[in-house]
Amino acid sequence: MPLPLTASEIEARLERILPTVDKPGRYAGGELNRVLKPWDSVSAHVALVFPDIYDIGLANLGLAILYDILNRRPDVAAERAYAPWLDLETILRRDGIPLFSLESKHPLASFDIIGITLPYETIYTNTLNILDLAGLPLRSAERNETHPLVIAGGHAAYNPEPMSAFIDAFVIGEGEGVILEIVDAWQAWKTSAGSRADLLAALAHIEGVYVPSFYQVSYHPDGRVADFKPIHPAAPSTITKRIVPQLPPPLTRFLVPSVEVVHNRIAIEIMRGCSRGCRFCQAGMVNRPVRERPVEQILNAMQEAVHATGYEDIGLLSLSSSDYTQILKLTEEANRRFAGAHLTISLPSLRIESFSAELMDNLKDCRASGGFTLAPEAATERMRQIINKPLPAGQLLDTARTVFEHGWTSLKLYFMIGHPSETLEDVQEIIETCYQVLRIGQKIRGGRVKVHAGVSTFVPKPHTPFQWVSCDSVDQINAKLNLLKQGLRHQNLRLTWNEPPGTQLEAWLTRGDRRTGEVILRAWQKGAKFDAWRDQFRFEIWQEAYAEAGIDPAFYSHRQRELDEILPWDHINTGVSKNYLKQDYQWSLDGRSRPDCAVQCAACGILSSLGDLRMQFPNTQWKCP
Amino acid sequence: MTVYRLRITFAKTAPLRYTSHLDMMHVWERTLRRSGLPIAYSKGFNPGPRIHQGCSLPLGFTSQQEMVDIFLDDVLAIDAVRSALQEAVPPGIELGAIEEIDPKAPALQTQVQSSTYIATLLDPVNPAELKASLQSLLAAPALPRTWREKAYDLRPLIHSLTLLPASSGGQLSFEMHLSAREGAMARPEEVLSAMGFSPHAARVERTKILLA
Repeated sequence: MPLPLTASEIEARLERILPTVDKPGRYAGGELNRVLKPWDSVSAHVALVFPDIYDIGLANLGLAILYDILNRRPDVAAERAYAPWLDLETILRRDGIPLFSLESKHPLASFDIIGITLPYETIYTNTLNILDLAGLPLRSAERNETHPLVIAGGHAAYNPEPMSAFIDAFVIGEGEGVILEIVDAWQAWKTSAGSRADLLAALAHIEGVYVPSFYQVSYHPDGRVADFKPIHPAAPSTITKRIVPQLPPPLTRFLVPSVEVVHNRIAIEIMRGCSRGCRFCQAGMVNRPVRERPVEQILNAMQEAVHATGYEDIGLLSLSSSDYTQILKLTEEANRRFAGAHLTISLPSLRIESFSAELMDNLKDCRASGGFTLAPEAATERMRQIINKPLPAGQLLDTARTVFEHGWTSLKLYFMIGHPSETLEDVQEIIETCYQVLRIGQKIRGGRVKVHAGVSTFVPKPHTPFQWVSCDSVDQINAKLNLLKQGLRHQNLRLTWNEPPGTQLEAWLTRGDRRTGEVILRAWQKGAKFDAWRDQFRFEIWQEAYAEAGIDPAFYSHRQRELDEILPWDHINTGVSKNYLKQDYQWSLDGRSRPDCAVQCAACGILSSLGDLRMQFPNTQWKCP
Repeated sequence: MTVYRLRITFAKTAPLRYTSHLDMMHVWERTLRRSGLPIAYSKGFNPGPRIHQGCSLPLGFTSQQEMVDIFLDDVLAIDAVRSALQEAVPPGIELGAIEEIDPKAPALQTQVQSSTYIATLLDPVNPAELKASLQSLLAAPALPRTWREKAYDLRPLIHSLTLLPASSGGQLSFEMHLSAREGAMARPEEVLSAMGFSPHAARVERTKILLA
């Protein structure tokens, strides 16, 4: 085997390669606020990886936070790597150049720890591709002391099983605190000159870290999990997610890329978690408890971030921004403080019912013209009770009216089809609702009003009250989409939807088990990558991969599970108890909604699992009653 | 309202070599916002900071001399402007001269006449052959070429081509002095192509912009 290339050799090769590829600025590094430490000045090198291209990955807030935390440590250097686009990948493979970090151009294999974010399932093949481009054995079992430790986190890691053969350790939950503990454990292990197994055992002792190789699964002949048990003394029987009891002051030194990327802006999380409990929403379940940042802290961070980045756009992020208890005060103060500063402040994820004309006035001042988005998710009262997104009759239309009265001329409505027990009548009601909203808009603002219906397809997710349900059949989904396409033909209405094959793959993977890992590997070997890209996604590869593995994918997507079945992710404890999820599922069958838990505690389990953290930090702003 | 116009000369170095002309506009907008200088905004529905860039630099090139004009709402000492900018510029911008310009002077872009570049060939080339190649280009009565499906003559846009002494590493380089007027701009990669090289065969750096 030839000697691996050094950073300066890679840099010299790139000199000739980059001018020949599309958007070479993606690979240049050297952005404002990036951190480049002399390689030998630190004892631990961490490569943070977003397994899609730079344009999409740069704005990922989770990795940006970890980059900041790690680089604040004088003994640690964190650098970044992204998936190369197809043109560069072809050249790297042809010339035997390993994937490299943007900062120092070191090959990924020369880092000590590779930390990968898995925000969604359709990024799995890209993850394997990156390990391969780095020249690493794909399977954790085939890597040894000479290879970097490969860890992963992110929302998809809440069901770590599909990727468990390839990742050495998963971080379950929020990474802010645990990432440094992992680095400490790695440094201690390095000094002790221990074995790979010693390192994994040290990691398994860290709360919230899951080492899949320390567990064994057996299956019933029909494919259901028969037993899941630890086979190593260091391995706990369940892994409880990590949270930060009190949100630290937000990141302000954002990387500022020198080429345009998606979401080129300051992103400030004003609140983490959501108390609403929509039953389809994994984020709403796994990110509990609700924690708010103080208004003053947010305003100061906005100021600092503008100074550090020069960005003109600020997104105040959360799962449900209008539920932030101080939202009026925050927007008023922001308007006052940044008046005349030519900033665009946006508040995504506004709830229809917690949204006031007053808030709209505040937004109007700071927002340039543009669209407005509301997410009713379903159009009938019956359906909204089932998914637990209840809305008083007429509220959507009232809110739409207020939006138009405040001068907006376009409104986007998010709906989801394929909810449990949804009928064509429920879907027909989506069409009716869009026309009602359009008529209201046209009455107020005239003929140029546009209504955009964004329709996605429901995929049951692990750790939600719908984790047991079967997906709607492909025929049904097609019938519903056809109904919408026929019904929403109007020059002022626009319909966008997710293509069923992409949704199906997500449904196969999200509730997958360890056997799914073999399918992912096979699909990647057959050429699957960039599965989240409509023009790159090749559904037939996945169908073949499942067939070759002898697995019927409908087992994962189109199967109603029994409530007492051992689910592949049952050993992961999000703090929300399985009993609560069962009860909530039962309530959905009864058509019964559940009140917002900020008003009345529903005993979801968070306080019994993680409540002691709240005791340690008595001033934390948890929204649990 | 006072409008104070400043011309900033800067070097564009490696970290920004793959940042396009359009993206450089964003780089300057953000640099100015970070600097806290009282930047003037255009009027209208979508007000933006008033910045005039000089002539564009092809992607992948570095430059010892680029120019940008910025407009401020207040008159400030040049030194104060310099120190504010010094704090704010990203890696890849090295500040040079800053001078006051008549706000009514024509747009920077329209004043650019020509540019000089140094092309350093990445692969070994015979110096004599290179010299002959440069001379034959200069001797040609016309150099018909096509750029983006438009036919044009490159020859009148070339003012001079000069072989430079070899570097210590043995790489050969030559200087090009090319027209850079609006609508009559010669591209260094076109000269390379006319000489039979791939446009990626050389590392190119702009050394000077000459104004009217």
